[in-house]
Amino acid sequence: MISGTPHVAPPAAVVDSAVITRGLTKQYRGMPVPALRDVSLSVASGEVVGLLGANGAGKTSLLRILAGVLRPTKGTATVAGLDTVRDATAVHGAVGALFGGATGLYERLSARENIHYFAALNGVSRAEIPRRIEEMVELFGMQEFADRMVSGFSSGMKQRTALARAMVHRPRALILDEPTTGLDIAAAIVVQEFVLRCREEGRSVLISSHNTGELERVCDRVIIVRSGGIVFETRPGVDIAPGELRELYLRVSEEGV
Amino acid sequence: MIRAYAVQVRTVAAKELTELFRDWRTLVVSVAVPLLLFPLLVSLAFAARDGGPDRDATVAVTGQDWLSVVPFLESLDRFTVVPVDDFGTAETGVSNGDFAAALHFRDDGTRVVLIHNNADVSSAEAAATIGAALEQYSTRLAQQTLEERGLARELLTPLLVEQFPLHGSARAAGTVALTLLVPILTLLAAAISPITAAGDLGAGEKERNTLEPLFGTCANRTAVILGKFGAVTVMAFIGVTAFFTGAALAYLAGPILYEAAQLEFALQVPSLLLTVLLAGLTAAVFSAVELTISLSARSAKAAQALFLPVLILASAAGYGAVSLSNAPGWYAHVPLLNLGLAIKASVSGASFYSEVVALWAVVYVTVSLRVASAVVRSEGVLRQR
Repeated sequence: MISGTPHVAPPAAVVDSAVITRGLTKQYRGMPVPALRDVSLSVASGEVVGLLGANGAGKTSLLRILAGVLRPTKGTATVAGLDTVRDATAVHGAVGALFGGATGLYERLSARENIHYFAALNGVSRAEIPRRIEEMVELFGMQEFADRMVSGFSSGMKQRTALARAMVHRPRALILDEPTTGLDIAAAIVVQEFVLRCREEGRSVLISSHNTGELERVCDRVIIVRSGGIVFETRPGVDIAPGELRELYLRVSEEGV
Repeated sequence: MIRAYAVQVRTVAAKELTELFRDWRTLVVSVAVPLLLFPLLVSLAFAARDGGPDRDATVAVTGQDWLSVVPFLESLDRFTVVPVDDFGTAETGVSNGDFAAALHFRDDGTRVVLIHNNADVSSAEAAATIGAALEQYSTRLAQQTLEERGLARELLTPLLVEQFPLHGSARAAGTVALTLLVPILTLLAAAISPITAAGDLGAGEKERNTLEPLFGTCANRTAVILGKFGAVTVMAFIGVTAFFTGAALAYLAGPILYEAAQLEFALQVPSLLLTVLLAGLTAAVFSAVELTISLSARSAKAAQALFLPVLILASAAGYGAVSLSNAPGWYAHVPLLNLGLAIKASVSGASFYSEVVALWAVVYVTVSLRVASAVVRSEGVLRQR
């Protein structure tokens, strides 16, 4: 038996949600099928929502639209009340994003310089930047390598630097695309604890991952995405017991809903 | 708003320059190679000349009554004269490279056949020198004959031409050297210098997946492009300066190391400033074009391939500018060639529609950056991986 519910679009007047999408569709030029089809979801403030799905299911396209780096072909998306197309620049300030396995750091800069660069581009005042950097260095335990060039970093050090960079402007929502891919257990735990901390601070978090155990541990809700659409959602610890998400995902994938 | 925009441009430019200056490959290609290229080339050229066959070349002589010519040839201090048995031996020796040239005298020494290998540069040069010397020798013999017969030697030169050059030979050579070298060098240096930086900051960023996080910040994408353009242009200025510094070092070292001729440069300050301005604009044009190409390319490798036509166009414009004399006014509207012609005119103290050409340069930069801005605003820039 499948525990959870087939996905239903959120009601029109969701006021407390930090992230809302309605009928989101994304069709890339030259691609035969849309990457996203009529996706509607909401994420409340202080809620952690996981996206689970096969490669090419549409998770990354959804996260990129919410981060304001891609435009939807149809539908709307708002983050903290800001439209991701009309108010893209403001959305960038409201979102902290981490994309893909590659963290996109500048290898010839130190961790501190990477964070400084993004703080400056995200409008943190010159006077405030050093304090924010110290805050991030402490938060992610980067004291030992903050002044070293990124080119010599391990995957875990890079990921911590990338998270610090995404958080330095104190975004209201976090978008994490497979943040623990390629990390060892210790580094992955740092990321997971960071996500839980964000929830405590009232930030909304959307996280995609192939690691069902990780999603069970950190997510309030997990949404299963297939062929560009949301097909199922469940609440770990409420709808399903610990360890059941993997089996649920496989059954949903096989049976379809 | 404008202040925030300017801060973004400055922030991006400063970060890009920091990264570029920390990359030893960029420094080698943009600074060290241009700085050392000309001194190395000049050293090699002079080394080749010193050991070249035109100095102390061996010349074979054969045939009848050649004894009187030998002291004359040897007095030129460039040839060692070796007698050989016959024409065939001389011809074979020249063909084998044993002799730079050979002289076969006949008809009692009144006719001479100059045997040389016209498919070999050193043999052809030796033949030209010997030919000129023998003509001089022949004239001297004729003058002696006229004097022996009581006739005036001026009979040989019924029209005497006197030269009245406006400039000394050193100054004339200096001006010619500037008009020949500066346009080509400026266009080539301006095209070559930004390549590494432009490739790194456009296609290189795509490959390293750093563009997406960058475009996820509050920074305006046009501000990002302007910041990158600023950094690439600075590298181009440095490269062009390094090329000219290297050329100047090679020139200054020439007389000291190789007894090379001194040239005299009479470039006035206004002309010099105009040349520097035009060179700067040329560097900015190539920086903008190459950054746009790099951002449009799918990969750094694809960008490198696309830079090649730019280099070819720069070379063609440079050579076109130096080979064109009295270029018509409408050439001021021909891209790149107009920059070469304006630079050529400015180094010779003249002007070739400098204001129009400068305006065109600004237009090229603006159009390129608008294209670059459109490229980074399209989603394709993030998907081309």
